[in-house]
Amino acid sequence: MTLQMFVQSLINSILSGGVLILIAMGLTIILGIMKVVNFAHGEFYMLGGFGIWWFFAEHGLNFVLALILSVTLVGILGVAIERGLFKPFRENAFPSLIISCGILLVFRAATQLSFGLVDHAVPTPEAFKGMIQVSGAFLSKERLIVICITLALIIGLYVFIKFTKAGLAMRAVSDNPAAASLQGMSVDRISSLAFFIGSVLAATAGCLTGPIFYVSPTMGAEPGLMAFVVIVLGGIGSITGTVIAGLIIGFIEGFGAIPFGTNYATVMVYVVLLITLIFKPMGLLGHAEK
Amino acid sequence: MLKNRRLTPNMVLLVIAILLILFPMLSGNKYYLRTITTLAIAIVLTSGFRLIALTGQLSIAQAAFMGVGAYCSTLLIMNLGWNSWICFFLAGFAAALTAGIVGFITLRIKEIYFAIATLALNELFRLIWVEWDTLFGGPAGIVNIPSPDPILGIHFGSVVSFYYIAVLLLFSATAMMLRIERSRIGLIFSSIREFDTLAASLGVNLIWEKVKAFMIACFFAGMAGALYAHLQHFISPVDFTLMDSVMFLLYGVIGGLESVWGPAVGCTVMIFIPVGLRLIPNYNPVIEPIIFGGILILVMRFCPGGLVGLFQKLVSDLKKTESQKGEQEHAAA
Repeated sequence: MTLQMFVQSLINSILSGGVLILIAMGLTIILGIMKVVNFAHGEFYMLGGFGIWWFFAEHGLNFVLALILSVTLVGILGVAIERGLFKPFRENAFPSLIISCGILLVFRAATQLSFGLVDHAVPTPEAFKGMIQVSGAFLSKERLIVICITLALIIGLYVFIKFTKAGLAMRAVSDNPAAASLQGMSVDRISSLAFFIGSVLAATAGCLTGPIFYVSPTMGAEPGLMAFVVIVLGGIGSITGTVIAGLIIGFIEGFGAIPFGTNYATVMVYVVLLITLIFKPMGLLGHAEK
Repeated sequence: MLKNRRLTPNMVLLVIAILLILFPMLSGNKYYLRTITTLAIAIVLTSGFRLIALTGQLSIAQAAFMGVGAYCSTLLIMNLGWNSWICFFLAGFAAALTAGIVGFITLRIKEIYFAIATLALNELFRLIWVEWDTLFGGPAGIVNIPSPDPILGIHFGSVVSFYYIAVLLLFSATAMMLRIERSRIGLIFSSIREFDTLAASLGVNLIWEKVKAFMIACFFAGMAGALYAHLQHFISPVDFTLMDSVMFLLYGVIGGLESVWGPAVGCTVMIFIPVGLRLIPNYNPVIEPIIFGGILILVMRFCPGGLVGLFQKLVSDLKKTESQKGEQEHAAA
């Protein structure tokens, strides 16, 4: 492997790992706080991508404006789904899992019905265009910017959860909802907040990768599934574990793709997951349930 | 009231059995015969899903185990020329063995991990089938799968013969599931779902019992897969995707996981809905997942017991009002 290829794989790994972490973070927060397994989480990513395509590519809005608009809409949709469908199944993993399967089917088919089963291209915004040369490797500015935004979001979320009052409340509810509500925290509001953050993060990931890849109704399937692999590998409920597992999977996919092809790289990810579960049944940083 | 009491589940089963056996003689419509054959395969798989759910686990990889059976039997028949009936059972054992290995890895921990691990497993199998094209034929799959070998001069190849094999498989699988559920093993399975720590304190080996349920379910899934391969004469990774596994979950939940009848009811309703819808002119099948997903959400939200649960509730409500009426009349007299 030449240095040039190494640098390019490195960037691709960090990019795919970062996007995965963005999606998986929301998933792990929702799972931790509400004990709700949302299989439809990848669909928020897809809807975010469609949002940017609709507002930016089709209607010529400013990219940043389109991003904010699409992310907010998906966030509101997320809260609506939480209030309407998931609320009765809080603390109840299986019914929520089943209901999310239904949501997944509906979302995917509804987008397919409205926009067709074709790939839609989102043009690169002007500010993201261009290349940077690093030690012989040509890196697109777009990918670097997306990586920076992703990292900033991950750090921001980490700080939010660890150091703000709302983050503290979220951790409290995730630890013990009954005790938290006795202390005056509104479990309803914290749950909605968690769902909002989760769907916003997934939609942001969709918006950012829209111009790099294509937008299609099935684009949420693979990252949605991978996000679950990330949280299981990292240990459910552990934010640090999610980041580490996301990077591990990103690196396996980024570096494995060149010698073996993308499909075998994905196979390797699953094999790594199964081997990890043999030795650490609760994931890398997970701890046993009380 | 007396008449109602005589109508036991066993009698209903017998009537359905006779109707199913007589059906090909009454109607020669190959389309319906094929639909019922697919329906029987779906019921076998969904019953397996339900058996696993009895132990409190959700498996979202039943289609993959169906695929393991299908590929196993097809490869043994086409590459080694083994007798297809032996391969039929070997397909079941191969799927059960795979389930056993995976089960011991993933069933040690509670609930969600297993569900997600099975999800990953389904994708893992699909990718292996797609990528290992020298053995599994890649994305194009395997074509020209022969019909089962003849037994005692009876040739299998027509739609009707497949129909009977499928019905036979359905009955043996359902009978087996019924036996299991009404036996001690069934009680052990439900005890795990109800309160696993308590069950373990009473000497139930949690992992082994869960693996057992998983293996039995996957055994039948593998056999159903082998039958599917013969029926279609063609298999490809597209036949055993995650979405298919989700469909078995959907059938089971809509029918109701509490009752043995659930999978059968759920599969029948959900497979005949599209059949009916396709009669509508200018019908767009893209809308199907919306209908399916919508029904799933509604069932989960408003009658978690599924259609069978809903029916049972209606019947008991009816009986209650009847007995109340009876009491009132009695009091009046």
